[in-house]
Amino acid sequence: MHVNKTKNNKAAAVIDIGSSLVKMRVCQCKEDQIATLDELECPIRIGHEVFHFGAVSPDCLNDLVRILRGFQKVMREYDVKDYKAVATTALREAKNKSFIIDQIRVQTHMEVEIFEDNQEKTLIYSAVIHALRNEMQSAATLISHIGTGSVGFGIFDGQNLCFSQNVSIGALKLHDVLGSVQEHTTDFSSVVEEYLNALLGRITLPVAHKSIDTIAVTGAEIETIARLCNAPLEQEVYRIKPESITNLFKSIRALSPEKISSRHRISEAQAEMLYSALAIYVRLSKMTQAKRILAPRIDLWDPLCQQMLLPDTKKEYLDAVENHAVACAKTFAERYHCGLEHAQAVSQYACGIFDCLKDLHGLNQRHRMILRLAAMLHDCGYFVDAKYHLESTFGLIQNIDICGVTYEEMLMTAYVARFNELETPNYDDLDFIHIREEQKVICSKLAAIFRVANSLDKSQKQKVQTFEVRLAEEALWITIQSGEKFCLEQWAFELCCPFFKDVFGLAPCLTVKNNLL
Amino acid sequence: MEKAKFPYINRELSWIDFNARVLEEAYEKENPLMERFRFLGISASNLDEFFMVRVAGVRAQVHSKYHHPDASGMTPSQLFPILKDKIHDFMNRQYTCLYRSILPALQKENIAFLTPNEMSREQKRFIKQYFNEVLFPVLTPLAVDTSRPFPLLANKSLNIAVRLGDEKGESCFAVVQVPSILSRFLELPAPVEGGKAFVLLEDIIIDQIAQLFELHEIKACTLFRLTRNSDIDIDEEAEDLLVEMVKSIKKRKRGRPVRVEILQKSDRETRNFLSDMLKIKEDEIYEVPGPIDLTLFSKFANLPDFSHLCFQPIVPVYPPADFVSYPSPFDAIRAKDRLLHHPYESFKCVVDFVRAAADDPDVLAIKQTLYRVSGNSPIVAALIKAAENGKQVTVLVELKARFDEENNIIWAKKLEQAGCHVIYGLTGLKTHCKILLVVRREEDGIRRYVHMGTGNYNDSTAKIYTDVSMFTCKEPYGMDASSLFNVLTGYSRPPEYYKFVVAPHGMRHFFTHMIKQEIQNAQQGLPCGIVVKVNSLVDPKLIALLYKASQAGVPIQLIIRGICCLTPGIPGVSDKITVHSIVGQLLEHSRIFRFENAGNPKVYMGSADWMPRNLDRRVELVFPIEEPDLKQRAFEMLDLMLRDTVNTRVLQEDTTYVPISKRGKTAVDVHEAFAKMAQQEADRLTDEDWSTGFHPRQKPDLDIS
Repeated sequence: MHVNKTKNNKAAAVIDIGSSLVKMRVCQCKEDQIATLDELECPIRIGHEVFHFGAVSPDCLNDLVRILRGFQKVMREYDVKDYKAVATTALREAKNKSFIIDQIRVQTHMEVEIFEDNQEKTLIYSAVIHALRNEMQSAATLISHIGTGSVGFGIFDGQNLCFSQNVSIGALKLHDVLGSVQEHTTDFSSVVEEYLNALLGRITLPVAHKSIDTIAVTGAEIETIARLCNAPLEQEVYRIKPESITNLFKSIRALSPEKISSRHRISEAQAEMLYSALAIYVRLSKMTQAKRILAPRIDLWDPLCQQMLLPDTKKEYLDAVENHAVACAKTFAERYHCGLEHAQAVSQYACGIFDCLKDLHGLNQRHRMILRLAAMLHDCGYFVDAKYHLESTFGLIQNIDICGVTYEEMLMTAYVARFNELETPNYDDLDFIHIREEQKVICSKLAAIFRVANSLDKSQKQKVQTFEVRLAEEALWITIQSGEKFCLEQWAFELCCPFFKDVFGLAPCLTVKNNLL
Repeated sequence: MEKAKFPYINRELSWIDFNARVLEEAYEKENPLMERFRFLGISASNLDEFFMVRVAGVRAQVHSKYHHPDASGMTPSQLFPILKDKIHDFMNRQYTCLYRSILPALQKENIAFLTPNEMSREQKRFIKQYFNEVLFPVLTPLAVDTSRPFPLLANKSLNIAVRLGDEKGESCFAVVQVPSILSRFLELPAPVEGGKAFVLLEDIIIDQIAQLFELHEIKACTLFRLTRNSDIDIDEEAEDLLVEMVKSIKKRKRGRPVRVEILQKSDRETRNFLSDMLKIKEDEIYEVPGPIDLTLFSKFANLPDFSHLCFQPIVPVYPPADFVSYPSPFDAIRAKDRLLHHPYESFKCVVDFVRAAADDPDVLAIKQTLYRVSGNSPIVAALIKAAENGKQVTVLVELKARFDEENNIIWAKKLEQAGCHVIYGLTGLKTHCKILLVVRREEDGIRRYVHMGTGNYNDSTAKIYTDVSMFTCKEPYGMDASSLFNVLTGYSRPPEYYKFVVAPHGMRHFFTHMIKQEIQNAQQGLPCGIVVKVNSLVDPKLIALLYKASQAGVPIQLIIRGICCLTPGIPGVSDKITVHSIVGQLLEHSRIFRFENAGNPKVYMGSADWMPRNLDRRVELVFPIEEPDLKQRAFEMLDLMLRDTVNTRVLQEDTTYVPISKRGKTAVDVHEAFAKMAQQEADRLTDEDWSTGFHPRQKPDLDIS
């Protein structure tokens, strides 16, 4: 009998165009679990080409198109209609990435999304936190993903990721970048270690290194490393002793890839990657005094497959990511000596206004998150310069790595946070040209809300005891109760009203109820 | 000769010993007469292939001055003369068998092959008429002189060299090819005294040859046959492998002659002429008493009138017991893994499965490897239908399957025309694995059905080759099957398989590991043992390891039909090893591997023999049998094979093969016994089972082959 095809049997595919591999995973949902139907991987030289020459060659493009056509055929065999094709570091860094994406679209009709470093790492970190949630509650954990083209790491404080940082050096890239040095020295390992020290040694973690007791790692080489360290695999998690990674690195650091290859029965290409990856792992483990290294078998496609086949998980993911992002922002706010109470107060008012205007602003949850981030970070510019603090705030936020936030979202956050009661967004502002047309309006809406919220704590004394907001009679009514004089705030509020009215077409009205009266 | 590092029988010499076992079946008086003819014919066609590939290969090594010794310590130039002597001796035995053993028995049945001299007037008239009406129009005499070079004669074609006298009294030559499109033998009008009489086609032509050369005096007629080097050497990097293969097949037809068979006491001048023209050395000329080309007797044995002189046919049970009470093959496989033992259980079951997949609206894709396909393959027809029904059909047709290249090119083109995605195999590797994957959408998601076997997807050979195959829809097998096809299609690189053992990437390591494990178990006093059934055991590294295992006390029972380069029974070296060879009514073809594994025995099956080519240069698949009842069945198969007394010969320390002593033992014929078991399984089913069975086209007691 012909079965009901729509019931629970949808297959989906994720394609990951990496630096050295193009991979595809076809999966389906069985009993609310993601089950893999097929996994394919083909070697590709995108990473070598981009890291050496900056661009993808026509030959490599042809290989990529051929591989993708093969993958499309396999997708047809499983009747896959939903797919997500993503590219990571190598293609992201290619000068000709737009042409490559265009040619892929023309030749295969496939849409490829180039993931930002942050998007990629956030997906992986979230999957790691989900997989190890029972093991990472008591102390801080350093979570790291060592890709072929970049390294990302973050600190999980037991509840949220409170810090994340990406460094543009992965296992393959490290090998390729320093490749030419090998001709000039027999002590290549020292050069690698110095280079990594220079890159990673000056990164300050937000927690004391002693308080980190676990490192959770993912990455292409970790399976090989776990195997060579004889690490046990328990419930899809390798448990590796930090000293065994250090010892493994010591045992191979002076060896050529040929020797590593023959000693450990792996290919030379694997040996080269193994060396670079181990150097990075060892450097990372020096940043902590972790007693254990956990390596869950997680890949980028795990969370992507999950989100495609179990849509409910996407909402959970976005909520969790927002919390991580705000936690990271808080870490940065502390680093730049921002007043946290003030930031939290502004965040509360801004979110209150945002939620009240839900039917008018047409914005989504991610925009609300931008508002929260702007509230958290808007004073960081004072750390650099009191006179030009708004410009400094803009510059700093623009270049901060916040877990789960895209570059464009950070740019929008920077725009929103750089306006106080005296300044309003101006489309002629040169900095605005970086933003797409539709984002300019969104930035204006968010800035309008942010300025009003910020004005309510102008004195940074958190005078507001109760805060209410409602829409009525074509106005936004904000009612606050305070036991202190509210003159400064009212002055600032009045300055913010015209722009708010311009943007939303309704005036904000402030009612202050004094506790003393 | 260099001293070998360990006892190793040269591969080519061992092969001749195997063919001698086939020939022994022709001598065997207990075999039905026509089967003895058939065995004689098989031994001859085996020898033809041996010449075309192996002898040609050794000869090429000698000519290219390749002096590297094989594992037996023998260089090609040392081997070549020994080989030729052994072949000459073997061919003598073939004719001795024919004249001393088979033809007298044929005479007792009142059947005779007559030459024109022995014919009655009526019979003579008959052959003259046949010549004039049938043969004359198709014969093309080709004269050879200064303006007409010696013709390119087809491989394995039978020819008559005719020495003619011209007006000046000098010799000139012509060649007449005995037409291969006509039957080699012809039934004559029945003799007056009763019985049956036959004549060979070449005898008719020679008798009437004057009609072809009316202006010349015929001085001598010499019958000869040419065997050419037929190993194909192709450029696998070529843009289009199919086109390259077509070119190479054409080239093969012009391969260098490696053997000329000629009748004894042939005309000396013609012999010299042929030797010059064909550029062949004296020792490559094989003089035989005739008839030349004994393969004719395989066809002769097939004559319908002689069925009473043949083996009682083994009737494949259809559908096999395991499949009877299920509405579709998918239901049967979903219930549990299924094992089929061919030909005792019909191969039609596999064909049915492909047909069902082709018609099933929920099947999304079918993927299959094809190595050797029958002439009118129902499997290919089903795949074509599947493609027409909109399924994604991927077929790997191995174009390099020796002597099936032309057939496979035809199939490849047909499948491509029907819209199948056809792959011609991997560069540098022959794809020899036998696997079929069906991807089906079911209520609880996508499920994969996998069929894996030890034999080709060939419905013709499946009637005479013994093979085992398994159906499963267990996820790890499905995942592995998808991965393997992704490698074969070039969409992915080799992964770590869950269940499969795949050559060339991991099979050698796997078998090495398993044998070493048995050695370790023996050393620790744990249960240990190895039973391996393959067609050939040639790989020196595995042989050396088996010797080590024997020395460690691991009992090793080998069932090797063909070439076996290992010597068993050498005290202190291989005294724990026995080697059985089963040659009988059916061609033993299954490959089964059992390892005792410290009391938790494991059994594997697959496409690979233990030869370097299988382990290193082919894509082969070996898979585990894990369901307890199927495992048990596999063990019982091996046990029964080892208990055979009728078809088995045992390899001795002195490298000779001797029959099993039947004294005091109940005779066990493994082929009969398996057929009986399959039938009994089907008979055990109730009528109710039959009523729900899928496609019960015939009852098992009817011949559906």
